[in-house]
Amino acid sequence: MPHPDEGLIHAWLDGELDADERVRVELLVQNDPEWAAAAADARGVIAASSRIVAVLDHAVPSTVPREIPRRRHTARWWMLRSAATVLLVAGVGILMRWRVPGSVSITGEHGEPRAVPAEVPAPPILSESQAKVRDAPMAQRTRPPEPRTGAEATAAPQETRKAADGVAGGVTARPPQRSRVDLPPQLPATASDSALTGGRTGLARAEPSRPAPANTPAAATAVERRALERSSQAPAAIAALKDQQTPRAESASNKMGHDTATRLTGATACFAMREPRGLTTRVLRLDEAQLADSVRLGTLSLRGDTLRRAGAPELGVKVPCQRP
Amino acid sequence: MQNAERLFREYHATLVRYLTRRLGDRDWAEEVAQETFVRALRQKEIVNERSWLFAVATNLVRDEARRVARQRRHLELMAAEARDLEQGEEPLTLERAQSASDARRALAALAERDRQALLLKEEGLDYREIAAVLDIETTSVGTTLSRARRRLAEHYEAIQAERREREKHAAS
Repeated sequence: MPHPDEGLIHAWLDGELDADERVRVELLVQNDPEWAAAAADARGVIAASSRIVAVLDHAVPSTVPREIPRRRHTARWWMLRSAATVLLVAGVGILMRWRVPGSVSITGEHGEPRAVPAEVPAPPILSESQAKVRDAPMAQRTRPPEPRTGAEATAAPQETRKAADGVAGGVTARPPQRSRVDLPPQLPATASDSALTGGRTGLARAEPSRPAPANTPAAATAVERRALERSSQAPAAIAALKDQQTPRAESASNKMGHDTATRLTGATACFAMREPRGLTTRVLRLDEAQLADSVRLGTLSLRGDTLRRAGAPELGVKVPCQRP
Repeated sequence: MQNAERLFREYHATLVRYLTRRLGDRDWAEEVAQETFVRALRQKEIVNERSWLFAVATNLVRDEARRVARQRRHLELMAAEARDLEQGEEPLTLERAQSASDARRALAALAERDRQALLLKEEGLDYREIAAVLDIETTSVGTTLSRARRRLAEHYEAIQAERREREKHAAS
């Protein structure tokens, strides 16, 4: 019988031997007490060393990263996502059909134009006060109004009631004649259409910064913008609506500084990117796995050009998303 | 990009843990891991990803220029830990911290190659991968590991016995 080989025994216990060698060591351990003792000793040493290495992690509880549980791609997730997409598309379609005044040609599912009845109500536009209420965080909406004095106090209840009507009734409760934008009769379908809608599903773009007019409806949604465009309204109104994104775009530009990817968060994230034609905001819908990866990737502070070389042209600086 | 994401998903946590155990400094470990992944992104083709990543990370750790720059921070961290211990924390935390300190001392007492082999094995690398990282024969990994494990256990026991003895003297 050969003398016990500690390295061989460790390799055997680690499962690193080929079949022949494994059988040979097993026989030796079974038949030779010296090998059996060496194997038992090696088991103890392996367990002890693993325990000691694990003790290293006790130094500072948050020092050593834990394994991040991998997300399992289940069919349910894809079903939910597909259902959400279908609902979104259907909702937008219904809204656009319902809002557009006059008989407007809308491309159907298969590309054929469909006529929309002229009696469809005009697109409701939010007043500034309604928009403020709608855009305010929930905490602000539910907070009781602060006491006012003088003329402000007399005007307040009416204004609050109007704003609350707009919130409670949602889109359907808003009177259609509240538009505060003078709309010229016709807007030709131009490149501005694709600029606003993004050209691709899931993308929304912002134009370069311009000062916003004072009478701009402050919180017109993306749906409303599209409705305005499609409903033959004024280029001036469209330009005004585009300006809604100006503060966010500028903020993103300032944050971005140079072409650097930073931490990415949020289930639906918007990213500002500097492109040759100007600042662009893109809405990326990330699933959980992509998001987790992006967050971890974000900790790297990789340079944008490095990411692009790696095939990630859509990474940029996260900015607040426009909520439709 | 998919490849970069996959590399992160599969190896980032284990690589940082390996480096943290190796260096005793999470920030330093994160930096080394970051540099490792940046190099991986630049690399056109990697045959064995795990051993490549761990080899690059190990080589980066070996870089003396970096070590000198970072050692100051490491020492500062250790000093801060020592100060925390002196100020007295909860008994359980103190005990755990002492155990960790003993483990670190025991690990530091190993030869460099033994230490690396041990930590790489703890991160799940097989003998072939460990041999690739350490640039040694696969057949000698078992011997290296058996030696490293035994010495680590012996050093740890000796350090703990020494500490217990010291505490007993202090108490009496």
